[in-house]
Amino acid sequence: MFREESTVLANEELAPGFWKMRLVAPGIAAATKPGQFINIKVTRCKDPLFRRPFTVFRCSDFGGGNTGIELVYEIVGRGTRVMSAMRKGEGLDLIGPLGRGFELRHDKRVHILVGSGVGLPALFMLGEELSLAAGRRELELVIMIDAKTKKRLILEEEFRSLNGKTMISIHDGGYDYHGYVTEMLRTYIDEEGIAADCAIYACGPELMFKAMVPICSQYNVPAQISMERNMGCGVGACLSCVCRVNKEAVMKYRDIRSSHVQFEDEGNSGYALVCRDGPVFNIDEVIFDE
Amino acid sequence: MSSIVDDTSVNLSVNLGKIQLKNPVMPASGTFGYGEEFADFINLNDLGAVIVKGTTLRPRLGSFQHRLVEIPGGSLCSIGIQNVGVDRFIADKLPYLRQFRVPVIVNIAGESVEEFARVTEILSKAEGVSGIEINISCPNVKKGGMHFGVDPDATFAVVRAVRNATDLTVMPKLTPNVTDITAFARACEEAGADAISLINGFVGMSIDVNSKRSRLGKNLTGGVTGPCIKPLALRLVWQVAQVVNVPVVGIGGITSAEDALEFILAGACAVEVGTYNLVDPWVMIEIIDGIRSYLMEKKISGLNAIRGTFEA
Ligand SMILES: Cc1cc2nc3c(=O)[nH]c(=O)nc-3n(C[C@H](O)[C@H](O)[C@H](O)COP(=O)(O)OP(=O)(O)OC[C@H]3O[C@@H](n4cnc5c(N)ncnc54)[C@H](O)[C@@H]3O)c2cc1C
Ligand SMILES: Cc1cc2nc3c(=O)[nH]c(=O)nc-3n(C[C@H](O)[C@H](O)[C@H](O)COP(=O)(O)O)c2cc1C
Ligand code: FES
Repeated sequence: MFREESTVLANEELAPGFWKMRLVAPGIAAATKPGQFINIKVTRCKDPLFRRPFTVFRCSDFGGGNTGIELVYEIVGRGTRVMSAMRKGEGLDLIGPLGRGFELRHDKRVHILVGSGVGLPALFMLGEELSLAAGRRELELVIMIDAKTKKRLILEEEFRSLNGKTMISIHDGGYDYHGYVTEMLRTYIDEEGIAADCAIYACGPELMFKAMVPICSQYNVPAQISMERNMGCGVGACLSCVCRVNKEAVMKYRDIRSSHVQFEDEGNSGYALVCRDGPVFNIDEVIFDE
Repeated sequence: MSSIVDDTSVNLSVNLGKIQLKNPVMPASGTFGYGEEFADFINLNDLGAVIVKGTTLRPRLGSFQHRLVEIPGGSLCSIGIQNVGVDRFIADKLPYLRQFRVPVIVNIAGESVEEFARVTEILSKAEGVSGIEINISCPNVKKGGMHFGVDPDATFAVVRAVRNATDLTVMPKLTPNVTDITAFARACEEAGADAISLINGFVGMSIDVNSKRSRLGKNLTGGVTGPCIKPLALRLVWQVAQVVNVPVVGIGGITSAEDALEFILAGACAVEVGTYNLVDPWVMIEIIDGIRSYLMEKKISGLNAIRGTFEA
């Protein structure tokens, strides 16, 4: 992780309330792995105070000798509103890349991305990597996109450009699938009979992950999910971003000595740091109702 | 980051009890982890001292999740002193810090006077610890959970017990959640404190009007810290500096050299930077450089010449 003073190259609205920002940031572009994030200082004044965490949507060569990153964000509060007012040429102070991203499950054939809203950007770099492998016929890529309404559907074109099958579910209907993405996921795994040979990578609201839990356990399908917590530092110092985790599952997946997880003395749970141990967790590691 | 240690034209060093600091800037406990988390951004040798996360006798898991919310100009958070416990601190965290030529001050917390004393004894035997900062903003389990720091007798008892348990520099850290902070400062001095630091966070809360729940989830309340508390902290530091003879360390909302200098003019011998470390991990270096520039510009040879020179 390091500091990079980036410059805004473009900042445009994708759909009402959703924006895409291009930043010249060669250092972070070269170092970021799928699922990692950066921490942005949205203002040089001291209010809003904390940096805001955003996934790197894509690392790109913008031409003219500029390489950098793209972010896709939704305006939800003060910080993102400030970001949406930024213009080409303005500077933005970044810290990154941060956290532990997705791990590709090489042992599986079908790779399913499940994303909703501004969870989708977290999946795109992984999607690009999987798409290359799918192009070489090494695996199959399935992309499941969820949106509440058609108006809130973003990044459809970008995901459709990958070598994979894209399926879209809209809660109030009007597209491929009418309803929740998790129902679409269950039906797909069931009908295709791929339970034994697929892996899921997901990013979206915690309610979506909770709805995935019974599906993953019923079909015994591994899933990696990207979690969100309010963050103070992003570097593991303030302990504000903790997420309740299951000890047994954590021990199964991680080298405890290099992790930041702390367990309770007795009992089978503890706290992991979303900024260091995550943001990506295996779904069975996370305890959703504390 | 520019190195600032070799510049000898102005003297930034100050004494804190038995500890000599090469400059007056330290991280506030809990905002700097164990130092290692910041090593990608700064050289720990450039700091006055390193103050580590609050440490207790046994490991603590701390508060529930959803621990931090931003408020205008500040932070509201409840970490609940999650920490690995004193034994693992010594085994796993201290060896890293020993590589540096920087004093290490351990912030300690406890639920009883005996626990404070015991942690102090253990730390005193460890190589590489220079001082103990006592976080008295903790519930006293034997007194129905009333915080040590809001009861002058309990404050005195904790500081005295720690004093008796060690020869290291002892620095109690005052809570602002009291009516007359000077009474607590005096109790600390009488109990044998070598220095006094202040302030810890103000207790506060924030409600989500849609869910009608606390924004801190089950934690309900938390500590208000950051730039928004600076004027409150400054006034308390000024009050305390006038009534005690031991060095006072100012804490609260410091984000710049100018902020730090305000505390020094109000009588602080040194400062701790808290919340803003989380925003700019390199800010303490900028503050040290800024203090030096101020002294050079004003042709002042050292901090002693300006400490407490605020004209009331
Ligand atoms: C690892 C990670 C990756 C993320 N990636 C993206 C992304 O690619 N695109 C996107 O639009 N959003 C993303 N988010 C969410 C994004 O960080 C928040 O929407 C943003 O911080 C809101 O800031 P605000 O000032 O507009 O909102 P406010 O509500 O005013 O923010 C107040 C405080 O709460 C924090 N906060 C509010 N919502 C969230 C949240 N959902 N997660 C974490 N902190 C929050 C803010 O950082 C700030 O400290 C990500 C979050 C995390 C943790
Ligand atoms: C995330 C966080 C964790 C903290 N942990 C501790 C702690 O363990 N022990 C302690 O004495 N103070 C702790 N504090 C209080 C700070 O050390 C400091 O007193 C307070 O934040 C005020 O300074 P600031 O406004 O510069 O942040 C913590 C503060 C924050 C924001
Ligand atoms: S945000 Fe500070 S520890 Fe994760």
